[in-house]
Amino acid sequence: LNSQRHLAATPALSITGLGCVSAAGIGIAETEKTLFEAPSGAEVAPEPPLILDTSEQHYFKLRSREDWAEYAAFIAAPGMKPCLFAILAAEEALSSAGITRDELANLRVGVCLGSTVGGTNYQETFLQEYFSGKLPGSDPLEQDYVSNCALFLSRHLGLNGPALTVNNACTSGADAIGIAANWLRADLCDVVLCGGTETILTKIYYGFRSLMLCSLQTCRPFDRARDGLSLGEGAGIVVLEKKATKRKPKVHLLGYAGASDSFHPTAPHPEARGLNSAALKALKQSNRNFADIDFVNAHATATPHNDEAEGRWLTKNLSHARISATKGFTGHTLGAAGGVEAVFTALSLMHGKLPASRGFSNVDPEIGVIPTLGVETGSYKSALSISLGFGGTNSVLCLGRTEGDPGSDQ
Amino acid sequence: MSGQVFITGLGHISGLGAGRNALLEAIEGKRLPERKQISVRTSHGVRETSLFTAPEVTLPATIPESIKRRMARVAKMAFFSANEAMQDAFVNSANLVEPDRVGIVVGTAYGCLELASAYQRRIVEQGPPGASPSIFSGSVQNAIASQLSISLGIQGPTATVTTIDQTTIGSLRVAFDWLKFGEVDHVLVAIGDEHSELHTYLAADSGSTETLGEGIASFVLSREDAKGIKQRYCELFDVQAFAGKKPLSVSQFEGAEVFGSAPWARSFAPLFGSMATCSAFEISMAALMTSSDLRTRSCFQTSRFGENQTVGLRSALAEIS
Repeated sequence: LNSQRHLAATPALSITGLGCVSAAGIGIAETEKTLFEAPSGAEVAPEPPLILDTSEQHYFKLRSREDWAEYAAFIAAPGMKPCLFAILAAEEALSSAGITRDELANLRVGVCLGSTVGGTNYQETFLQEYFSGKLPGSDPLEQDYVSNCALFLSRHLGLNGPALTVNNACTSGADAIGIAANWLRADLCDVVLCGGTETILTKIYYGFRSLMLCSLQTCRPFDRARDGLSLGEGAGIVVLEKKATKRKPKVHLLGYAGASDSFHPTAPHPEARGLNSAALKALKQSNRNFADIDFVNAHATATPHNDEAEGRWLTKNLSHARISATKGFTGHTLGAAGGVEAVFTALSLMHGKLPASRGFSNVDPEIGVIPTLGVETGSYKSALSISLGFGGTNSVLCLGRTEGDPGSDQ
Repeated sequence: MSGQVFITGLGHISGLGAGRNALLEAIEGKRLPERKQISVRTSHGVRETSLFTAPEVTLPATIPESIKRRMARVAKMAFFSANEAMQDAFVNSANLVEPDRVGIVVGTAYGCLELASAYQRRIVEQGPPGASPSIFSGSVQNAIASQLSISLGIQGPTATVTTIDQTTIGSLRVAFDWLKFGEVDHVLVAIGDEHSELHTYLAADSGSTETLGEGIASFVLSREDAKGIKQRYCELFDVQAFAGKKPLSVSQFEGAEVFGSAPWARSFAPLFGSMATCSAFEISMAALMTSSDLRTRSCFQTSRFGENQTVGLRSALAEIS
């Protein structure tokens, strides 16, 4: 507790807009349908979600849409896809917040995005030619300067606030929301578009496969027979504002904290040291205790080690709370996951519904977590969204339906 | 948001050499980087280009082998520079009293270029079986922060900022806010990049005539009430970047008095070479100069694509006395 001495409960921030594209749906309406109307993991054998095209790649790919024709250049260049997804999610988020382009021009609007590949351009053809001994042209150098996802989105929307891309592996999206929160508290901005965006490049897919972290089936979070993750792509972006705004908040960001395991380059700390530290700090900032948390959107990648460390920590500290594991709908969207799942957490708080933990069917006695088996309903007030990442990063977001004290409806 | 933030430790490696003293000697005009001229075959024929190359780093035996074998060249530079900054700042950097009250921010525009190229080359040459798990995990952009965290025993938050030429300002801002809001007492900030064969090729092919630079500039930033530190170089009082239509004006800048009468300016960029994170090295130089002169207010501004970036430094001598 001494290590939290300078931390205090901070004023909640308002999440006034939501945007999301993933294998669970293009846009919030499709996403809600998938999350809250899909059959449970316990009742059906895992299979790809209905709105998913897995014919070409071994990951949860976004369904292509005809009205994306104007973005053909993005889709043709794999390294630019995070920029496309960020545009789609950000424009939906702004629309749902009711912020027009004209209003944007009069606000200090920041952009803070997490991504593992949206920071630099990736030209597969160029690299193949170069490493084969050919002498390809240097256009990719120029593309590096335009493909950084936060800078790209900021310029695309003509914004005038700070822009930052954070690459903290799988916690990136959550960390971007936490950094954005500090910008608002420091009065650097009036509004921040924040979250994560990601695509799966072949080199990333091969890398995860080389580490033997990929399942050949749809992932099975927390399940006794889990055997690895399914990769996914997409973006989840929220409009974050200080509470004094004319726009009605959908939910509130109560707190955020990050911490490092300082343990191993690829494996989580077995006792979830960093996760525990991040959660305690996020709760203190939120003026909440573990007992106040109604549900958790778990990281739950379905790799043996992640789910074991995270699951044991959940069983120890949050056995009263419902646990939701959503990567069976989206795959693991890496740098976008924290943003995508912050949106899912917000939707659950707004609608009082938790999605099934798709892919789970058998309890692992080593963990003891029994996540949601079907869509559940309840009067949920406070929730945690957890992200763990390569290299031992841990991030926890605390979201609330209301900004007041635990138990308050005000 | 309260309290002051101070630069309490500095570390450095670049084409100028390894260690803080190289910066001091450069300020005094006693040291210049060694320029290396090379010929590069490009799509336009053979072109000449030049580099400032940082010296090779020998890692201490205290770093676990499992970390060492995954470390990219830029990560080794980061360790050298970060470790120097930690030893500079802390009375006992090897035994942090509260490791979860120390954060890490790594700023890198391009990450582990050489290792990422090696990883990609193996895939091109051997197909999917060429993907090496150790090279993959060492080449991801947040590997540097992870390796610093493990090697230095730091358990606070980490962030890897990768925003091309806004990387330096973004990194310092993340650290500044963590400290101001009491999330940690200290932040180790390591900013820089390496050049690689591929990057050199791209620069030469594009016709760039700039001398390419590499290196890592490290800072320890500390809250005013932080314990266990040896000194304060200067106060970091402002870090901002705004794009496009509403650039900061001089009058908005707290340190505007420096522009009131005859301001003087020095640019050190030519000493470090061209890199997107070069401003971090200039801020190191400014911190060293500010530390020795009570009158100095330092301000750094740059602009690309219309962004304006400002870092405010002012002497900490008054607070110490």
